[in-house]
Amino acid sequence: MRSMYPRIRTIVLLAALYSLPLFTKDPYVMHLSNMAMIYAILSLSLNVLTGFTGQFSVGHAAFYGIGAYASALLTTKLGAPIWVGFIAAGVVAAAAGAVLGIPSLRLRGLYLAVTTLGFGEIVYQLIVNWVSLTNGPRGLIGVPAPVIFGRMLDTYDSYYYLSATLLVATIFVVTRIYYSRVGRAMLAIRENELAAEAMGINSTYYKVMAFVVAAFFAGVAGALYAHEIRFISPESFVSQESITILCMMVVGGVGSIAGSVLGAFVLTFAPEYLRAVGDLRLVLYGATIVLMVTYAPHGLGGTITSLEHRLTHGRRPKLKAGGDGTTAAGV
Amino acid sequence: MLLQQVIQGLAIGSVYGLLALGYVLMWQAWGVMDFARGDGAMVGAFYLLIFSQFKGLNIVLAFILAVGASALTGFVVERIAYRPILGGRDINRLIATIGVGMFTRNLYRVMFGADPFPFPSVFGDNPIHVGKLIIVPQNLWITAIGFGLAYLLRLFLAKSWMGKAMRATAQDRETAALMGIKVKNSMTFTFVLATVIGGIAGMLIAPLYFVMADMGALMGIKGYASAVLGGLDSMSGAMVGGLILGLAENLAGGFISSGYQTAIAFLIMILVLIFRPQGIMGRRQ
Amino acid sequence: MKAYARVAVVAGLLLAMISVGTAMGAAPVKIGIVGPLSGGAAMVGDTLVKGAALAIKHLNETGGIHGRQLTYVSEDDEQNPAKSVSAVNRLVFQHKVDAVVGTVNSSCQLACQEVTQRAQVPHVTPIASNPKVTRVGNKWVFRLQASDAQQCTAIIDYAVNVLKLKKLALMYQSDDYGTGGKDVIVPYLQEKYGMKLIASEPFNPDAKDMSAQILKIKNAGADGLVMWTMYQQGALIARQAKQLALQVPLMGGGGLTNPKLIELAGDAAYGLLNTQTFFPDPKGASPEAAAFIGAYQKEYGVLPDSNAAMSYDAMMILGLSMRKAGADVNKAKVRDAMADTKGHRGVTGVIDIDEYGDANREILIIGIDNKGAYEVIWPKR
Repeated sequence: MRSMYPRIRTIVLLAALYSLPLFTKDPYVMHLSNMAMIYAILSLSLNVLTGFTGQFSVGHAAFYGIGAYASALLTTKLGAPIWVGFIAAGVVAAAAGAVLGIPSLRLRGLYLAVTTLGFGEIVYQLIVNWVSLTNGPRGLIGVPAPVIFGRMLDTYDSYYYLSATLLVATIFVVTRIYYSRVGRAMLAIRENELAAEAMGINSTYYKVMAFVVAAFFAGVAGALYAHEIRFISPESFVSQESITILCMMVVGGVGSIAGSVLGAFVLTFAPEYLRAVGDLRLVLYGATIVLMVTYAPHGLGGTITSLEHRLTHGRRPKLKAGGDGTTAAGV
Repeated sequence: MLLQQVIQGLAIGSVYGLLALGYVLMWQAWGVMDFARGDGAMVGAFYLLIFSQFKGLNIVLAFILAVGASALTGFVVERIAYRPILGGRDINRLIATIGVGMFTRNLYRVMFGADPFPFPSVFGDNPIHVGKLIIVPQNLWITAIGFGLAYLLRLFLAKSWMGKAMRATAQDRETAALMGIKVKNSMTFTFVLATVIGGIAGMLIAPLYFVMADMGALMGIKGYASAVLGGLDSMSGAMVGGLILGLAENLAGGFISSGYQTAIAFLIMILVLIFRPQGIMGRRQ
Repeated sequence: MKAYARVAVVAGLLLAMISVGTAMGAAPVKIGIVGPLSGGAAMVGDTLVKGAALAIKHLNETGGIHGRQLTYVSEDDEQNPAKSVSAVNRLVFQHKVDAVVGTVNSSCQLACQEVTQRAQVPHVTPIASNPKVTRVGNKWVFRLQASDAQQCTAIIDYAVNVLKLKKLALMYQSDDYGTGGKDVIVPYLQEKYGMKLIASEPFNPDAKDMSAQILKIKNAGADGLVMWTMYQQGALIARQAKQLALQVPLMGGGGLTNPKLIELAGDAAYGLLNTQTFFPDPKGASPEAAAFIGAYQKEYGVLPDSNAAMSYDAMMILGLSMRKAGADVNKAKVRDAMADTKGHRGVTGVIDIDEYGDANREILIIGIDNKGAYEVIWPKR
């Protein structure tokens, strides 16, 4: 029974994810779902950096933007096929991640946070000012829709399957990292870097690697965004976007994979439902975030894990809490 | 030209430094990088606007009332949003401050609209001409008050019993409690102090850059960067960090490229941090 | 027999009531309004909705669309391109609107007009001024705002021909509005007058301290400063230019027009010139504009700005085109009727819609006098 549960859960969730467009093709809902899945990939990738390795980042939108521009430029200006654009988006962003990873070797905590914030600002200004490459604030028009197996994904519901597939792939890879030797090394560094070093873990390598992996997926998310919305401009990659991604990860649960996805969906759809209250929407959004971290410190992921645990084991699990220890609240 | 750019850089730099003081105080007592500091400055500026412009009170009386209102706001915010997660994880506390900032900023936008309000200069609008150089009196006052506050805060933290209690609390809450320090009171006090200092910063910059709901967000980030650049355990470091950031920004804008102004300032900050991770005036841990 | 007669009368009355009822309650024509209703540009979004709502009221008072009433729903785009796509999706597919009015920010406009194009819904933007909006081959989009191309050439002509300025400098905000202006000014100066800008300085749209740029311009010896920005930033530049003793004429585009600029900048704003199509003072305004100013002030208690006027004209042209298209407001017919608009006497001038979907009319140059009031400078009346 217990061993069957995760497998059944996975199958049910996958079926639910892929069958959504069968119930509604409403472009409004489909576009929002695509955005939620893009944010889920971003939030997952940030989790590798912050949740697994314990490195703060307030500049994730930089990698997102680099990926979006890499793919959009390759496909519009050089006419490269879409799949090349997606891979290039990941690779270019990963290279930028390696560059930002270098200061991380000497800086930690808030000093690293402010560095990533500065990096985000630098990348944003590059996008704005490097007009000959990026077309500056006017943005890039006419980013092509992907063609897969001869079918053009130019509607939100057909694009949905691409988003869903990339999300599933990201979840798969991130989960594999979490349970691998690499993942354990990252967690060890998060808990106590000195002790990890003493155990023979090369912290330099893993810290930079976390940046590279996180940046890669954020870059892919950027490409996914660029080809969905088919018009990109610098406004979509401002610092506020980094903070949105950070909020999604924390509301979902730091270190929690299911939580990252959940956080992204909730914080993408909730403001839409709050449209009815007009101007007060962002006031409520701010209040909700404060309440979430106060009353659900392990995030939505943590809450669900404890519910599930009670369902399958009949009792509450012990969640490790407190201090600086960012807890892996279930995967 | 160069000298005038330097003067302008120092002028905006002392604004950043003034905002950075609140960050350092919060870091020292609470161990949290408080993203809502800039919005605290905005709230202070609005209080002064309400008392002196909307209610027509005398500027000194309005200032005293605005400081009082800032303190009260700090007290309430601390009770509602900061204290409940005192023992929580760093990142949760960081996010809570982001939530508080968003809440405050948008609440004020709903209440007062998005348009800026002008604010008359208390220290006179007319620039002073020294030879070919031009100095705006308000900027001189900001620099002076900034360094004055940094000095007073340092004295307070180093000498007074309350200041020592605050530092002890910041270093080790449990031991401080064992020593008979009322830890929670001490932390509340620091938070109120940080809110008041941020509020004063907001009031001082209001005549230069107007009062509006969004004023805190961008300025706050520059203040944050200044605090880290100067070193998070030094009050004068905060001012120095601000001055360097302001100088870098203005010289970059004047002589390299105005488009990359902020980018160059942040690049310099990152480079400094790589070679001096504890900040310019911070102590190595 | 009497009983039958009574039944017949009652039934007849009922039938009449029902038929009148259905005529009266014919399904309304739905307009979707999209704009930044929160965030930094919220006040522009707010005036956009108010201007369009007033036009809808006036259209309904004069018979609606062949008896059908007009109603509207508004959605917030937060000045974010992705959100603008969501908002317009919601208008088109959830609210099933017959036409869309909005939005403000050009990046948002370029992103969200793809939705209306694909869904084949007429879309008119009152405010977005980037020339590209109407140049991407989208036949469903129209623009009321004088595009940056028209505004920039008007102010440059005035600066060079009337003010006889030789060393123009430019400051522009580094977003689509500011760079859109720069992209017109630089080649136009070169091609028409063989002149180059003496300095061309961008600044962040949310920058507070512009002294680095101002000093650079002062040092270059400029004799005139064109600024392509909105009024809050314009007020900051005017004040800081005065403080740093940059004593040259300040000029700009329609984004600068707002009484708030004078309130914020004080006497530093005196003498500032900018292009405009709508003059917010009943004295010296056309009869159409004067009537609009009165009605707007009565409805909302404040004077309208040019955004409100653009939005009013946009909705009026849309409504009149719907009337031409017929009671079923067939979307393709509405589009064609809009494209055929010629000589519409709007509150922002006599408007022709050109082959791109842009509204053409005479551009005014207005200035702030020494008492802090707007006056029409050009053309001389």
